[in-house]
This record gives sequence, C-alpha cells and structure tokens, in this order.
Amino acid sequence: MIYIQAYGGYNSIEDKIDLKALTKQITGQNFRRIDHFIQLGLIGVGLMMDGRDVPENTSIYISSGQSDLSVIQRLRDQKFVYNKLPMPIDFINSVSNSAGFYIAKFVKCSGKNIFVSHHRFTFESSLQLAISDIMTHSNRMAIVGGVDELIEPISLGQRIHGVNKDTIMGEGSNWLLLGSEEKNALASIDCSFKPLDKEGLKNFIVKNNLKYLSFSGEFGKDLIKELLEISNGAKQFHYEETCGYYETVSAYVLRYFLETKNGSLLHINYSNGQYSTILLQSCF
Amino acid sequence: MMHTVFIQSSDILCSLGDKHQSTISIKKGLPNISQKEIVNEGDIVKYPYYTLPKEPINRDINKLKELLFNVVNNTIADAGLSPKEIENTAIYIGSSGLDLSVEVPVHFSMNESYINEIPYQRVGNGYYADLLQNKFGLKSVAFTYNTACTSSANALLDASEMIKSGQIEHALVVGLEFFEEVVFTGFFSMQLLSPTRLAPFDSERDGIVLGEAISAVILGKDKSDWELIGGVSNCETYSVTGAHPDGVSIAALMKKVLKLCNIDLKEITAIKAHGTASALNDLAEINAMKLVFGNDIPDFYSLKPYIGHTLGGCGTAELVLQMLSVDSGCIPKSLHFESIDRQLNLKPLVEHKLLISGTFLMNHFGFGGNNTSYIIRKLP
Repeated sequence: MIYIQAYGGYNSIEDKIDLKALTKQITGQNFRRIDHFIQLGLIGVGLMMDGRDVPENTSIYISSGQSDLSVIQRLRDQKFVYNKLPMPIDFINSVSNSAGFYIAKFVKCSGKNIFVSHHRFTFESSLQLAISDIMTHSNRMAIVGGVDELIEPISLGQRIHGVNKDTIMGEGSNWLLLGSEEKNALASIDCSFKPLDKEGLKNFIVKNNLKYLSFSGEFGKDLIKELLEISNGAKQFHYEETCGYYETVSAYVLRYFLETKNGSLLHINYSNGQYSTILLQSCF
Repeated sequence: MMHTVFIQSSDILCSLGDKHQSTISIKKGLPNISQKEIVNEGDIVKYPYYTLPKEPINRDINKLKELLFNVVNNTIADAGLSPKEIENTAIYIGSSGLDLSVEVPVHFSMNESYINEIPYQRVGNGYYADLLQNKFGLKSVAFTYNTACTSSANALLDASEMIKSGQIEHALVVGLEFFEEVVFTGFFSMQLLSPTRLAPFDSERDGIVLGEAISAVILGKDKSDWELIGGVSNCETYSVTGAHPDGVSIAALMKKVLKLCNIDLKEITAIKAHGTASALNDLAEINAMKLVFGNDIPDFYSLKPYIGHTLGGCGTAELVLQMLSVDSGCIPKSLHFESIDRQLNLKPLVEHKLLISGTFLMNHFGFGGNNTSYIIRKLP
C-alpha cells in the first residue's frame, strides 16, 4: 500500500500573477533566472513541504500537460518579432525538466527526477510511475505533482487544450509526498495502472464501498448519474467551481479533497473511451 | 520474483539511414553530415547538422508521423508479438526540447488575428504516444518522458523496471528527436555548437553537433541475444546545464549501477560514453571513469560523431547503434579523435575493435541535472 504523507499546492483561476515574491516567501530562497512555470513548481512543492525534510534519495515526478508555454511564446517572439536568437536563459528554461532541477535543489534531493506527460491522463501518468517506484524500492519516498500554467491570450489556451471557448482556464501546481510508511500517513492512494473500459470501471465502483466520486475529463451528466447510482450511495465530490481548467487538475482534486473531506474518494478521469482512476482513502 | 529483461527487437532511422545502412556506415566510419544555417544579427552562418536522409521533416508533422510509424512498425513486427501481446504492450517515449504539435500553433498565434484559425484540438506533450497507441492498437499504459538528453534512456529504465517487477509483459520504447530551429539556435546562443565537427575527448574538441533520429526497441521477458541488466537515474543539482566537472556525482551513479547489476569492474567490456565533445561534459565523464575504474578503464567511445547528438532520442538511438555494431562484429572507434587532451589525459578507442559479445556500460547525461547510466549484455 502507498500512503500520502503530505500534500500542498497552489491554484489560480484566470489570473496569472507575478509569482516571484511568493516563490521567495514560500521557499525562503532567492532563485534567480527562473520563469513562471518553475516558480509555480517551487511554490506548490514549498507549500507541501512546509519546512519538512525528506531523504536525499527521494524521487521527484513532475507532470504537465504542455509544460512551459510562456517560454515557448517568448522564444517565438524573440525569433519572429525581434529577429533575435533565443536568450540562453529562456532556452534552458524551455527544457521541461529544468523545473525538476530547481525543485530537487530546493528539497535537497539527488534521486530520480522525472518529467512526464500524457495526452489525456497527465497527472495519472506521474502518479503511476511514483507508485511503481515505491513498490519496487520499498524504502523510497516520492514527491509527485502536476504543474500547468495559464497561457495568454486565454483563447489560445482553450484552442491548444482542445476545450471550448466557455471553459474557464486556470493554472496550478499540486503535490503529494508518497511513501510506503503507514505511520503518520494522511491517506492511502492507488491509481489504476492500465486504463479501464466502462464495464471495468463499473465493476470497480460496485466492488468498492466509496464515499465520494469525482470526475474530470469528458464526462457527460448522464454518465455521472449512472455511475453514482451504481455506487452504493457515494456522493459526487464537487471541485469544479474552485479551479479553472488545466490538464493536471486530478492532482488538484486530491489536494482539495484532503483539505476538505474525509473518507474514500474515487477520482475518475475519462477520455476517448478510456477511464483512469485514483482511489484515495483518508486514514482518519 | 524479479524477471530478466531482454531487448527483443529494434529499429532506427538516423542520418546514416535505416538499420542496415547505419551498420555499414559505422563499420566504414562514414558519418553523413549536412549543414544548417543560422541568421545571427543579419549574418548567415552555417553549422554542421546530422539530418535524416532523403526528405527532411522540416516542421511537417505528417512527414514526422510517417517516419515514426515506419520505425515502430518494423520494431513491433520484428519482435514477433501476438495481437494480444501488442494490445498489452506499454509505450514509453523519450524526447527533449520542444514539440512540433504545440510549437506550430503557438508560433502561429503570434499574429492574434490568426488565433481564430487554430483548431480546438489538444496538442502538446503526450501527442506522439497517443498517435502510436491509436495506430498500433496499444491499449496499455503510455508515458512520455521529457528529461532533456536522458529522456529515452530514462524511458528504457522505467520500462525495464516495470517488466522486471511483473507489472507489464512488453514495452515499446521510442526515442524521438528531429530538427527544431529553436533548439538549434538555442544551443548556438549558448555557444555549445561546434562549427567544425563532433570530436569527443579530443584536445581540439569545440562543441556538439546536433542530429535527428527516430529509434525504437521492444523490451520483454522472452530470451533474446541482448539483456538490459539494469540502471540508475539521478539528479545532480550542481548546474542546470551539466554535471560537475570533478565527475564525483557521475562516478557515484556508475558505481550504483555496477552494484545494482552485481557486475564487477572487470566484467565491463567497454563504455559507451555520453561523449558530447563539450569541454566540461567530457571532462566530467573522464574524471568519473577514473574515479570508478582507476587505472583499468575499459575501452570507451562515443557514438555521437556518427549520428550527432540526438538529445532526448539518444538513449534508444545509441542503444540500437551499439547493438548493431556488436552484432556486426565490433565496437566502433570514437570518430574524429586525433590527439589527447592534456587535461583529460585519456584516449578513447581509435580503431574498431573486433568482438561479438560483452557487457557494456551506457552513459547519458543531460540538462536539468539528469544523469542516467545502465548496463546491457550480449552473451557469446
């Protein structure tokens, strides 16, 4: 069994504020030459760590839908608007795992540091790897989270995320500290390794005594109603009004649940006929 | 129970050509290097680049898809998997830097009046894994790694660990890197590109030469000639652009790998070095070898002078070339090496060495502090 030892994060709806001061306030360090995406990562991890230490070999798994989009925009402008070569610092920050470098520096970890993505189940892919890592190396801990930044103009973000123009966009950086130690754990967590089909999902829901279900992705109201009906009395856990759309929102759902509820939560992400599930059971 | 992981099939398309052409070109020591232009403050300068043969991709995502599908199709076919096994095959893609699928619309959006012409269609990281899943009917898990130059090496390690622990039966691991102007000019801005040639460990080395490649392997439990014994990935926070030149961190990584794989120093036949030909990275790697092996450093060489530095794709691309070389009866000389650097005081392999089997340490290091090393073996 894998346990959540800590959680934390940052979330913003359609508001991209300058995070430099907040990064310094939360991490207590003055990171130079980093951009908004990396700041988001550091703030989220800083809020989760809250002054705690982790073993040096702790693994770090970061997921993001589209990484550092504002840097790509800057590189674009340098080339097409100003006819300049890329600024070295922007080029370095455009490498996705630069965020992992600064996070590793902040938490003083030299273990595995992996940046992953997925077309549909973005945060779930990093969670799967983190769980697999701890299951294979039982004495290891893992910091796992999702970071997505708001891209402006909002209409561009909606188009390249493939969401409609009414979607409220957001950004966030949400993190969990995982380990195999049950002592002082906040919750247990598991993630379906392979995507499920609808029948597989229904069987899973029927077999488990769940208190809450939450949904992200391309869910219709009818399907949500159907799944709640077969769930033996589970309620829908609503988070939708508290965050905008971003691809690692599953990480936000877990954090928000841990902050506000107790009991069991099955978070279901759906896309293109496939379902990915995260089962969380609070320890209190 | 931990399972043994074998490399069951592979394919590559790189500047040398396909798998067959690559084998011949390595044996002959003949790289295929072209040039790319950079406009710098109004002046046009030309730098060497290892371009895919025939029609370059040139930001044509459909062309990229066609080449990717071809390499993956060959790899899956050669593995001899049943339809059910293919369906259950997990996919791991490693690629660095930018992604055409997101970069093109973002560039297109520079003129705000064009934004309305961009379709509402999800692009970005994970796009290629999804394409491959749909094309080949792979219904298991999919992971896209973006850890700079260690991307596909890390993909190999995770795939291998999941097979070892019994979580999956087979893994398709793909390394993908193609020409991207921002990446090319970004390396130029950082003054890391060589204007001449890629000459790892040479006294006159003056930087890297980039290249593009698409490569793939199928990993599984079915016995084959090549075993992926194991490896380790870590993060060194000395500098976001490279390892500490003293080599201490890389040496610790290599020692961990040897210990994990239960391989004695003397069992290492040769080291496939990361060997980028940048001054500090080569220094760090040589210092690490000295710390690990003392005075008995095995033969070592870099494959990058043959195909360029294929960045996130180099993990699988160099694995495939390594296997092709040994399968054809040799390990390759480190091309373009002419004279010993006094600071390194060590000479890579300067002539092809005949052998048909061995245990090989494979090194990959990248931006973001990511260092990865693993061991493969071919039994006689």
